[in-house]
Order: sequence, then structure tokens, then C-alpha cells
Amino acid sequence: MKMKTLELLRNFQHRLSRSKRWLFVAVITLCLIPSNTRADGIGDILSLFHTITSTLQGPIGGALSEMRKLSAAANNFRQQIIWPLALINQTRAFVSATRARYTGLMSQIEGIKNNSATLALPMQLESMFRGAQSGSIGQIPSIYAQVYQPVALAGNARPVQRNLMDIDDAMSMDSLKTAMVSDQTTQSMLTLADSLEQQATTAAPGSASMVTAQARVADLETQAQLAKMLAAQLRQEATKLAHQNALLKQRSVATQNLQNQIQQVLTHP
Amino acid sequence: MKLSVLSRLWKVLRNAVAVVCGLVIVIALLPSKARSQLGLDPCCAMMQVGLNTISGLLRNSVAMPLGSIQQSQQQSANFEQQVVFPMAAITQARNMALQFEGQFVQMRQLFQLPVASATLPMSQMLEQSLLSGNPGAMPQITSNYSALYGTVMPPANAPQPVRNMVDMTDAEAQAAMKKAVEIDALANLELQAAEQINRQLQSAARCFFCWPAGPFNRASPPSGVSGANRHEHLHYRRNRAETRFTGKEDTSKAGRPRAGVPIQLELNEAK
Repeated sequence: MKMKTLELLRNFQHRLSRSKRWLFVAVITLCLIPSNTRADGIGDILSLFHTITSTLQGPIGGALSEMRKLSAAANNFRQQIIWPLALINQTRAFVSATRARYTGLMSQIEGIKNNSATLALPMQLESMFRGAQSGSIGQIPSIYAQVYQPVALAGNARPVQRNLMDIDDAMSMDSLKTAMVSDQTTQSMLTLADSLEQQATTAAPGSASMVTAQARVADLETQAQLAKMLAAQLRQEATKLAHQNALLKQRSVATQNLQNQIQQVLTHP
Repeated sequence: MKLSVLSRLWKVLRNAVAVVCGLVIVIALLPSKARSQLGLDPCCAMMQVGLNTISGLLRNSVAMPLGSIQQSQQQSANFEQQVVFPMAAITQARNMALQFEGQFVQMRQLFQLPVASATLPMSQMLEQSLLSGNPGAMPQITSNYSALYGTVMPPANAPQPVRNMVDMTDAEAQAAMKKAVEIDALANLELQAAEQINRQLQSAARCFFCWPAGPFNRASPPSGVSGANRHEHLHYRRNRAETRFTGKEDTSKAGRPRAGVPIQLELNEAK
């Protein structure tokens, strides 16, 4: 019995010594690998969380907060300083009020008739050149000739005098025709000016610059028309001056002729 | 007897026991991840707390400011689209430029209507020169003027002071005629410039011509618009011409005609 017990113990010891290797490997595996991995993983995760939260709170959150403040400030600056809606509406109301105040008065002044002739032919001529209808330009010479008489016939006046009459008549008629054209274009310009005013009552800051540019263009157009009228007036005044000077020249020649004739009379008793 | 049976049984089962132990070890290793997913591990709890913190921070520190910025941007965009740059107002302004173009072309054609009225050859030639609007025709004005109105009388026909006065008056009359031709030419150019600028305005998204308020060329006008202010110089030159012509300067209405201008033009300018 004792022998068997001793043999069993020896076998167990032997088996135990072989199992120690497994146990050793298992203990080392359990103690070293998993435990270190878990410890290191938790530390890293905590560090990562800390980094993420501090990043979210600091750089990102702070920057976003500043951006929000800047955006709100810029928005307020635009709406309250640059383009305040109240002032925009006030300006529109001012334009409307100005139109309401002056348009009627201006229309009344424009509607005043200046016709003053009393006889038939002058009335016809006057109504024609005040009619602001360029289609009537062709009728001006005939009525003008009826009122002011045509150029003297060749037998009735010297060529110099006929030329003077003709150029004076021509310049007068040119000015009348130009005035008729100008009156008609002025009506168109007034229509455009009215459109501009209406546009100004509904204009926005973004479209105001375009309306302003169009007003400038209309102003340029008006200046050009005014220049045309001034040129016509200059031509007419220059013709008058030239006419007076031509008469002086003719008188000089006539005086010289008279002097020569007197001398001839005096030299031949 | 019993020990031998046990010994044999141990021999048979020891490998199985070793395998079972190995499996137990493996199972003991594997569940650490499985448990974390079920929230039983303290590490998992820490992750949960951390993720909740991050989520809260994202909501409060990132999403809220971003939402506020988006709201502000949206408000700004709405303000610009509805108040500052409303499409309707810009379209109306463009349409008005179209309307202007038709009127401008019509006006230019009206001013091109023939107004010549002379009937005799000499006066026709002078009139043609005067109405040409061509500054290159200046020499013809001199010759046609002399042919029609005559030249200065010879020295034998008049005293020298009279001849001087006649010559000066002729010069002034011719200067006025030539100035009229220049003004006509400049007016034609102004009409062309007005049409050209107006055509540009039709295709402009915003006004780039409105110096100095416009974004371009705050210091100097764009080349296309220089004509828009040329009338200022023209005013001056007209004033000088009229002053020379009449001998006195009209300071009340610099550069504007004193007579012969329809009242509508004056009213339009006053508007």
C-alpha cells in the first residue's frame, strides 16, 4: 500500500513538473499581455478624450464663438449703418413727396400756351413751330414765305442783296426747325425724366447706382440737345452780325461811288 | 485496484483537461471586449462618459455657434436679396435702360432731319458748311462767308479804323459760325456716347460707371464715361464763345443760352 502511494505521488510530481510549463506560460500570458494592454488602452483613451474636449472647448469653440460675434456685428453694421431700412424708406418717401409736390406745378407751367399771333397766316406759322412735331418741318418754308415774303426776284434786287435775304431767311428757318425738333425731343426727355423719378421711388441701394448712371446719361443727352440749340442760336446771331457788316461794306462802296460821281460832276463844269 | 483505474482514467482525460484549460484561458481572455460592449467594464463606462462629454461639447460649443452663424448669414443674405439688391429693382433699372435706348435713337434721328432752307447757290453753300457738323469744313466757311458777305473793303474805299472794325466783325461772325460747327460736332459725339453708355448699362449687373461711388476707378472716370463730363468743358467753351460774341459774360447762367431755348429744356434741367 505504501509503495503504491509513493509511486502515485512520484507520478503526480512528474506530471506536475510537466504541467508547470503550461501553467508558467499561461500565467505569463495572462499577467503580461492582457493586463498591460488594458492599462495602456485606458490611459490613451482618457488622454484622447481630454485632448478632444479641450480642443472642442478651446480652439474650435472659441473660434466659432468669435465668428458668431463677428458675423452678428457685420450684419448689424450693414443693417443699421450702411443700409438702414428706415432711412431707405424715408428716402423713397422723400422722392415720392417731392414728385407729388412739384410734378403738378411743372406740368402746369409746361402746359402754358405761348401762342400770341392774331392774324391767320402768323397764327398758322406760330402754331406750326410751337407744335413740336418734326413731321411739319417740310411745311415751314412755304408758310414762312407767305408771312415774311420770298426772296426778291432777280430783277428787283442786286445779287448781293438777294443772297443776304436768302441766308437770313435760311438761318431763321433753320433755327425754327431746330427748335421744333428740340421741343419734340424735350417731350421725350421729360417722359424719360418722369420714368427716372418713378424708378427712384422704388429703387434699392443695389439698383440706385444704375438709376444714377441712367440719370447721368439722360443729362448727357439733354446737354447735347441744348448744345444743338445753342449752335443754332450762334449761327443765327452770327448771320445777323455778318448781315450788318455786309451792309457797312455796301455803304462804304456806295459812299465811294457817290464820292467819285461828285468828283466827276465837279471836274466837268 | 481503484488507484490503477483512476490512473488510467487520468491518463485518458489529461489531454482533454489540458485542452479544456486552454479553452478556459482563451475564453477568459476574450470576454474582456464582450463585456465592455455590454457596459460592464469600468473602461467602457469611462468611454461612455467621455463620449457623452464630447457629444455635449459638440452640441454646445460647435453646433450652437454654427447654427447662430448660419442664421446670421441667412439673415444677411435675405437682407441683401430683399432690401439691398432686390432682383425686381435691378430688372426694372435694366428695362429702363432698354426704354432709354429706343428714345435716344429716336432723338438722334430727329436731330439728323434736314433743316437746310437756303435757295440760292451761294447761301446754300454757306448753309451747308454751317450745318455740316464737321470741324474739317472750317476753311470752307471762310471762303463761303467771303463769297456771300464780301471781303474787307480796299484801303481807298474806307479809312483804316473802319476797315479794322469791319475785319474784326467779320472775324467774330466767322468765329461764331465755326464755334457753332464745333458745338454741333461735340453734341453729336455726346449723343453717341450717351447711347453707348446706355447700352453698357443694359448688360451691367451693377453700375460700374458711377464713379466715384462705383467700385471701379474711384480716382478717375472710366474711359467710356469721360464723355459724360465733357459737357462741363463744353459749358465753359460755350460761355467763352458767347461772351466774345456778345461782349459781356452771363454769370447768372454760366454756359446756358439766354434766349431761344425752349422752356421745356430749362424745366428738364431743373428737374
